[in-house]
Amino acid sequence: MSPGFDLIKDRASMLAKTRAFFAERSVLEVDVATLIPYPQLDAYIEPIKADSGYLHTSPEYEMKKLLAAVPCDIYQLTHVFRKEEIGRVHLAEFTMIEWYRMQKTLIELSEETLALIQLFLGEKKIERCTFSSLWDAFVPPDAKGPKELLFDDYIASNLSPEKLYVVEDFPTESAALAKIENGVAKRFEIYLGGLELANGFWELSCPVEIKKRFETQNALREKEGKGPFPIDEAFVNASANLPDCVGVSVGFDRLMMQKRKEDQVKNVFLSSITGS
Amino acid sequence: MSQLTTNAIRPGMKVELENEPYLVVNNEFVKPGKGQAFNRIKVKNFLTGRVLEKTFKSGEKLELADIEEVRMRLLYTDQDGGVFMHDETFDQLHISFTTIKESAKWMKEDISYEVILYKGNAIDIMPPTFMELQVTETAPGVRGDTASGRVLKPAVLETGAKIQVPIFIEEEEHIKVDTRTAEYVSRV
Repeated sequence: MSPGFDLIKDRASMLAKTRAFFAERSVLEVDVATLIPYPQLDAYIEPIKADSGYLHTSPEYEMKKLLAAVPCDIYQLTHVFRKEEIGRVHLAEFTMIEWYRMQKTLIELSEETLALIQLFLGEKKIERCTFSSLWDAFVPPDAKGPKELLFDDYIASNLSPEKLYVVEDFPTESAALAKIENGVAKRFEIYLGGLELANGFWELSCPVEIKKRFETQNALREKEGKGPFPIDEAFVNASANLPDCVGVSVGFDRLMMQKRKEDQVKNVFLSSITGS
Repeated sequence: MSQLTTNAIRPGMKVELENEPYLVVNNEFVKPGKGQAFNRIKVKNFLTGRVLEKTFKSGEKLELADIEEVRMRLLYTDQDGGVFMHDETFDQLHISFTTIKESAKWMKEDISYEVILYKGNAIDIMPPTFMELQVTETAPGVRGDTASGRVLKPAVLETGAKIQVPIFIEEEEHIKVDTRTAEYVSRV
């Protein structure tokens, strides 16, 4: 059997298992638009401009608009696009599993996410911790530099590659669209060693607060010399009707990369077979 | 001078940092969680050979170094270095041993070398990967050395390079050598 066929079969099998995972839980598959009129607003995620809009960097805004109109449990399995994110574990086009749950807490969502991840990786030891506990444990108090690099240097490199870490309660400046409670952003990330696999949120539904966060991101964009983005007012307004819900996204290709013990994420993308 | 953003930098490219030329060894994109992206770029200094890692904000621009590689033939060596000639333009260039450093032990007349020019000045020469050279000095092989597991012995080649050769190789024989590792490959 050719290695190419093995990869096609493995991806097909994991896509089918992912769909079965959600079918068992009565979460409905949706396929919202991937070509969207307004760019998603984040200071550090660049969308790719298309002829009549932008390629989505995640299905978040369109899925939330759908939830605001029809509240129900939904998931999407889709390719997303991020300009210039190319590296050992990054691709400018990659496969994302994103889902939203109405009647679940953030902890229950993280449990569900761990179950999905272990479909790919098999059973793993799990450790729960908060962002600040990791920071205090590993980052020396006198360490200087951007927090992303300190995280990479001191924390990511110290996490066991055999363990899944659920990191909870983030600093408010990296809240994105998570609710803030008791001074921390109510979101989680799941890591396998230093590799980020999932990103979960207790979803913010206050239009005023969402608009404020967008303006903060735009101010950051201007500071970085990137120029502000127009705000998707339809999304902001629809948020008022967003039911109380939690949502998470998981990187399918990174899971495949770990499952197949590949060193580079591009090796599990089908274009690795055709060389394109 | 042309510039490239950090994301377009690939291993093997030549960049200019703080007025010195560097060879890019590795470029790792770092973007943990939600936040800014960085590139950790490992580079090797063309002049000193020192390897170091530099971190850039993703999207920052790097200057490409004015490095050129030209194929030149060694005409002769003198006490300070070698005189090389371009096969097509017949341009001649004297390159001193202080510039040539390690590669001096692979200098042989009438062989073509890659001469590395930085801003028009030679900074290094690269010998061919494989060279055929004569053994000028080596002790005769002694029977019994094989049994004790010693199958190699030191030898000096016509260019002055000191390498290890199998015990059956005698003086004045021609052998093929890998110049990257200074290892014996075969008899010629």
